[in-house]
Amino acid sequence: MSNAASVKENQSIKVDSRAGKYLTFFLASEEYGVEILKVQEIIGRMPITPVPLTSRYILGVINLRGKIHPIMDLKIKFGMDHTEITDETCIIVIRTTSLMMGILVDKVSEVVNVASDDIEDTPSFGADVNPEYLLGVGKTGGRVRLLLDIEKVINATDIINMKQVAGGESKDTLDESL
Amino acid sequence: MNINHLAISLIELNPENLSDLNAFKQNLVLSKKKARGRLKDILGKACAEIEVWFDHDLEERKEGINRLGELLEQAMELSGGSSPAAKPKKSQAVEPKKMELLKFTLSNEFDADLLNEFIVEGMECANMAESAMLEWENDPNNRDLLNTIFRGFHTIKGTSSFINLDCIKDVAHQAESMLVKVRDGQEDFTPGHADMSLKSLDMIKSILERMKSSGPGRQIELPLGYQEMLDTLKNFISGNRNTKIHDVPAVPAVPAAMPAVMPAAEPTAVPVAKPEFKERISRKEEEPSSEKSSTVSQTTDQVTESTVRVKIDRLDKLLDTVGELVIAQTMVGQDDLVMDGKHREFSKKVSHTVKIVRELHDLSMILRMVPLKGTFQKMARLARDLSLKNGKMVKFVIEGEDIEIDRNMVDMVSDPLIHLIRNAVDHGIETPDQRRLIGKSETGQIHLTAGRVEGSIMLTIWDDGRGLSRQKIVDKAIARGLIDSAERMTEKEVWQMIFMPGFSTAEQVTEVSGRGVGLDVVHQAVEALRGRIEVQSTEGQGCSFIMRMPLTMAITDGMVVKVGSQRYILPIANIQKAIKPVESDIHTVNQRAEMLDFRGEMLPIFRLHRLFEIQDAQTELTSGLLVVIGEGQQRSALFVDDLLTQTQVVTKLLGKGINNVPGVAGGAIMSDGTVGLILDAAGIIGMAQQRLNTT
Repeated sequence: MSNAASVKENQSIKVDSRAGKYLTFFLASEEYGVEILKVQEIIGRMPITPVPLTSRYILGVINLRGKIHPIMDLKIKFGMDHTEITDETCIIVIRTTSLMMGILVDKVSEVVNVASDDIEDTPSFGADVNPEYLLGVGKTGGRVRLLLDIEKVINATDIINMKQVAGGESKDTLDESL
Repeated sequence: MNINHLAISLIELNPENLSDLNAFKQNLVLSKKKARGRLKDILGKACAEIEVWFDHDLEERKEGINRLGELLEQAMELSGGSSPAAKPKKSQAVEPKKMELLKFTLSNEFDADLLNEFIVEGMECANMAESAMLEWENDPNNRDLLNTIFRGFHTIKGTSSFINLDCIKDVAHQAESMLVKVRDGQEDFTPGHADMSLKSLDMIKSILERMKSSGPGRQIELPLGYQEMLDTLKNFISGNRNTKIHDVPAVPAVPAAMPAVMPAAEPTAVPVAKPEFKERISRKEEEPSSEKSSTVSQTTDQVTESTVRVKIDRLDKLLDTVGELVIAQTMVGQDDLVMDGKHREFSKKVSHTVKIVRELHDLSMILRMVPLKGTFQKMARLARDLSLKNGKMVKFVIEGEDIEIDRNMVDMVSDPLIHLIRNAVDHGIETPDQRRLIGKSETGQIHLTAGRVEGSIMLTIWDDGRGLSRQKIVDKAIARGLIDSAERMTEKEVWQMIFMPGFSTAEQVTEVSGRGVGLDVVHQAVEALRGRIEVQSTEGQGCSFIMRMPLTMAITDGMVVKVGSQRYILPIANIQKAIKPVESDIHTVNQRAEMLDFRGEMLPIFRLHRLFEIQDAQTELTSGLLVVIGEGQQRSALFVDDLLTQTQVVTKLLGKGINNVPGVAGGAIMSDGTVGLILDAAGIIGMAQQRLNTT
């Protein structure tokens, strides 16, 4: 088998695994999608208890029917402005293989079926943006949706801010970008 | 294929499908060949019926199916039951006298839960009937007792036939028929009746016991002599009393190990059942003398009556849910609608439910409590073995072994206990020679005592050995650079030093004071239990270690502290004192570090708002509160805005990934439904000291 052919085959397998149902939501004006199977539930905003010494994008913890789960502001994580709480602000509870975490989003949009033909690989943005968190770009219904590898996003999250624990940097000077 | 299956496939039969019809016909013919007597006749008719179907049209075939159904119903009645399971009864008809292990297949129509339920219920009935039977022997005129026995057999018969357990049903049925005659006055009650009834009960229980280790669709071996027992019973009923009852082979004893093995086989079981075993064993020992024939039955499960095994995860789920209910109820109770006092009727109803919920909560907390007995017995064994090894004579006394603690704590308690008892035997108690020289009795004493004090549990280990030597401990502490001089130190403070980490290693302490191997480990273990440990000692007279810990780890008693807009829960066990500082008590070092003059002791001040970076907090020390936390060298003053209220919370872990935030021990759901963070005093101190070192 030639090299080109094997690459092609690899790609087609990869594309297949990305196709499926996505829950889409807005962060500012951008529409993102997470695999529906990773979504435990969507809840309205509720009081969040801040936890000290955690990263800036960890807003705190909530009580979800007696279980305590951390909440992340995805926009801060991606280096955008922090989320302004509005009536449309929602928490999407994500269940990954290792933990449950809520992500705060500006607005939940819809559930779409993204076929493998509609998925394009993430283009390279140079050093500005880390495309590692993206599975690809889904184009359905004339809209562009950024398909998140939410498992990777959550696993790459340093919940506890070690520098801050040691008394070094303060919460505000820390920044992280996509 | 038996008649039942035929009947079922007939119902499913599609008269339009010829190949289905053909298959059914073949099955029918096969059954006919196997059948005997009248059954064969009926099936023969059915065969003739089906034979002509193929020539008829659909309508007539449908009618034919109806006729066939009626025929099969007759056949089912004739074959004497509805059981698709194998019948020991049949084999009995063929070879009634043969001694062999009969097998019985449990029907797989019913799931394991149902079978288990049946076993427990059957055991209960059998036990009930048995105790009534024993009483009735002495009081044969008592109709109530007779009815109780009767009911027992009847219930067993009913339920066992419902789940197709013919082997049990037959015994129960025969025993019932035997007793009917007595009840209806046709026969007098004789010892033979009693004997037969008890034997029947033994047999039923023996089968039930076997079923426990089996499952749906699996085969069990019927106890040896099952058939003989059934035959004797039948002969007895038909008036043939010549068969000597005692020829009936005794029901093979349920292996004595079997009930005892049960808890081991189910590691998830609540160990509550344990104490019963002892009782059961002792009962068994008494039996042979008082009971001539029923040797087995009494030893079987009395436990089922008084305790129920529950899987731990179910129990935990229940406790979780009750915890939630308590919180939800509190939220209802604090709702404006209830608090504003305008709706008196409604408020009354709410406060009524509050009471019930609180009771429920208390009950659920008791569920997870287990007695200390098991742990204490282990300690007794340990003390015995150790003293033998060391050539010391020790009398080990246990008190308060019935005190119950949270089952999660049992293992955590036993570690420090082992340590302390080892110390007491190794280093505390002198050798018999030494003891004689100083005028003590040769046998040393170690007392392990448990007691409940003010909602907490107190464990004391006392020995009458050497006791602690103040001088040696002080020397050691100075040599280690822990203190400069012990002049101002009280006894208590000196003793407390032995718990310091790094105070000693095993060899050093043995030569210095003769006490205190790795006591910092003990200290840590007790602290992990949110408890405290204290020492009392008189040199030469002995010493005691007193541990105090909460009854359960699930609930934390705490104070709500305010820091800016944040609220935290500080466990009361961590708080030694809260003071409103005055200017003169506060001193600074290098304009940066702060100290509190606490009764002459200089404590470092750690500001929680700085540690946790809370912006809107009180920064003026004299306007806030200083809470003294930590022990010994670790003791420090934590600066917070205010102490608000006392609260009781159910401790929970923060979600995965966020559960090891420094200074935070866990979370709790507060009465308003939000999450409150529980502070970890030791963690806060550690973090603060680390920061001082780095800056």
